[in-house]
Amino acid sequence: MTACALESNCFEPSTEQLVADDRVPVTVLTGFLGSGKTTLLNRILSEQHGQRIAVVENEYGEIGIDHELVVQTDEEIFEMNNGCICCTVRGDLIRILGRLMRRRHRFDRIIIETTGMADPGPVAQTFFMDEEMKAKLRLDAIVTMVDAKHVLTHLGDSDECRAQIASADILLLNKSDLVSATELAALEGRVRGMNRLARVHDTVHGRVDLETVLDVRAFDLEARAAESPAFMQEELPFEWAGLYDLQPGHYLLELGPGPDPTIDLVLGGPRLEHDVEFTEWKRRSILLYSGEAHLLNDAPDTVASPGETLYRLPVDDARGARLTIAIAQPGRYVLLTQHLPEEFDLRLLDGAGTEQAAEQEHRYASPHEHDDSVASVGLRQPGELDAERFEQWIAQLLRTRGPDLFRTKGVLALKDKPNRFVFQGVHMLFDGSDGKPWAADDERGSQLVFIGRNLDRAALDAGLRWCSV
Amino acid sequence: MVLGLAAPVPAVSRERWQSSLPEAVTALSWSSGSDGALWSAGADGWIRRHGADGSEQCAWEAHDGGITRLCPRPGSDYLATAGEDGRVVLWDAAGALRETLAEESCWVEHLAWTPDGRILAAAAGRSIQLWRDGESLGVWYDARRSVLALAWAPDGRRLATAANKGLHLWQVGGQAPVQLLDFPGAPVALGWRPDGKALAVGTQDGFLQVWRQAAAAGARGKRAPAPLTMRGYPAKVSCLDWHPTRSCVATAGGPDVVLWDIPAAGEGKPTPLRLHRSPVTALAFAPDGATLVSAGRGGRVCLWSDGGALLQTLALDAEVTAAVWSPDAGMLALGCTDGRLRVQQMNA
Repeated sequence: MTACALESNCFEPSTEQLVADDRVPVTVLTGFLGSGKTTLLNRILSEQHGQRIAVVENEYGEIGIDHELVVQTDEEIFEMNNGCICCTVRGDLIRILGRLMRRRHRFDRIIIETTGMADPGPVAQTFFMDEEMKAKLRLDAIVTMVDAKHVLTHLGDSDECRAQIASADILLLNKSDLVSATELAALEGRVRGMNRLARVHDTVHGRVDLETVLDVRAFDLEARAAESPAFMQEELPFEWAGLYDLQPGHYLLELGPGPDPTIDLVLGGPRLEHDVEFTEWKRRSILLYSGEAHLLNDAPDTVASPGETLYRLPVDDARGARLTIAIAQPGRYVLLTQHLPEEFDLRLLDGAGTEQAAEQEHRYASPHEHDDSVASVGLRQPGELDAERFEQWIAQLLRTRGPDLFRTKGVLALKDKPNRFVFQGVHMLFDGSDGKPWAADDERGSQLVFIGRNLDRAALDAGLRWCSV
Repeated sequence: MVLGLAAPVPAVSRERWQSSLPEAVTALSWSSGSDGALWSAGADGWIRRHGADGSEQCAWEAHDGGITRLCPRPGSDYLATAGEDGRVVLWDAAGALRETLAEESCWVEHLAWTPDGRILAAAAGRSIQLWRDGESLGVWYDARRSVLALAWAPDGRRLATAANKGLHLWQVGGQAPVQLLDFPGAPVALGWRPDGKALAVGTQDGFLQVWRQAAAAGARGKRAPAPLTMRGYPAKVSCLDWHPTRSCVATAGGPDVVLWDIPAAGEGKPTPLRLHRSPVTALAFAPDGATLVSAGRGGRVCLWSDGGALLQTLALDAEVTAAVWSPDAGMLALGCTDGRLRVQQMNA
């Protein structure tokens, strides 16, 4: 099953776990000091869910936890002698969980709370590298708690904070009541840009449905295999689309100062009442966004009109920006923007100065990387892949870039295989198994997402294309 | 003309008694007297004394949470225990508390008497504490690393402790380790050869390392000799035990048991014993050196001759957590995670 890319060249589908998995699920809870991990933990423990939970808590816990089965631990990293720096494990967890498992009838699941400064990598690897841990326990998910108010500072200066976000299956933006909707949206965009695989939720005082954080089965390839292959969010060059019903005349687009000195936008329409038409415009806009932008000057008489143009609007950091839009025919139009409207306080006003509400809006994962060294790269490759080439490429990639790759997930179409191939990795460790069979009318294609540090999209894309049949 | 029936090979052991405890057995130890009594420790925090026929002679709750170690004091009738509640406690044979030696905030995972029973060593987290007759001899502390294993040299004067990437040798009375043996891995098992001149370590990433004392040690040669390194285990080397008289160490990593003959110089010679299908969790030579027991996660117990010939197998229902021989090598006690306790009597 799981193998280290340093030691193994075999890329065989897993045949293990054919019997019912009776291993105890483990949730890893990470987050910076003050993010609210202990509040969430206490909430989980105090809820009437009928589950008995054993807690492994780091010895520098924020506040004590009042619970029957709590073990304190002193985080200790063991490096492996094979020279693979990714094969580090948490020695303290191996000892403590090994002993705890002698009493396994006393609990149904385990939650491990890490210190604020911990890298979740070694914790996750412990459950794949140590034979005993792998046999008795099942890593369910890495849940990362983020303090919505202070995380931007940490993101700037802490590798651990970036690692925690990049490793997460579930990201909880906690204390979301302490920031404005705009700030929250910007934060959400940013963390999604770093980790496109995680499910992101806003929380206040750690209030979250338990099913959101427990029994996620994020590392369970069988669960992944049963899912639809479109597990990854579309990656689009714009973050927002607003659909408006407009009448002939002049409208004014008003923006406040925002995080960037310009914003790129496309105006489409009319006749976008139906989804099909909107989807078609979305597709055309992707092409427009990849082309040359028409730079608008910020003179007050600048007028833009709907059409196949990518406008780049300068946004003054004091005055913001204003753009007149001329509409000739009545109907439904779309405004596609590079950033979320909250980030620039974007408003559309009619001739009388009345704000227009969007009939519909769509939000997309952040495409731009905010200069974060940690980011997600999603790749799609139509058609089939050559299994041997893919194995060669991915093993080499993990071997050389493993330390920088927090998570890797993929659903692949391998040549002559009746089933999808589901694939996941944590640093240098990887694991794959057969997924859902391809139906006759399915369009075969592969998707891969890498979450890592300093990823080179062009190189990754070229690598995947090289594997193509 | 008559089809000769081979005489059935007599089993080397038979069941003497068995018992079922409410929770997992975490440690077993034979009483140091000649009464054939057995002490058991449980994940429920209880200590029990079982008579020669298996009858429960006394029982008491010794720790809040599981008991990690149970060590009768050599040459006396009382015992020391360590637990997940952070306590190190001395008890008399009837279960009366003699003294609480330590109350730590973390699990006390290691506990050992010197062979003469004079000094007790306990390790919790990063600290090692020593007591003589209930008096503290001090605390040794490694600021960076947890103690992963400890073992007294047979002379009772040196203590070996294992931490990530190295072993420390301490001298009773000293404040700092007298020798440091560096190596790249994380130790999980540790054992002195009974002559005190070699030390074996099993590691998390599946190798075995043996240090031998140089035959002609230079005047004050405190430089660590180059160790022998033995690889090829499919998993961490979690069990090891030296033969009582020969230079042979039994080891287990994953389902593989390997006997290593360790010469005074040069490479070791392996004898692999592959019969377990699940990882081996307990391994012990009988005190007379005639028999080796190996027992695994799946409940299979194998008895081997000291040369590695299979003598008998037993099947228990759950992971074996303890396999201990009586001092006269006549009895073997086995404890499991399902609370099963079984004593085998060796046939003469």
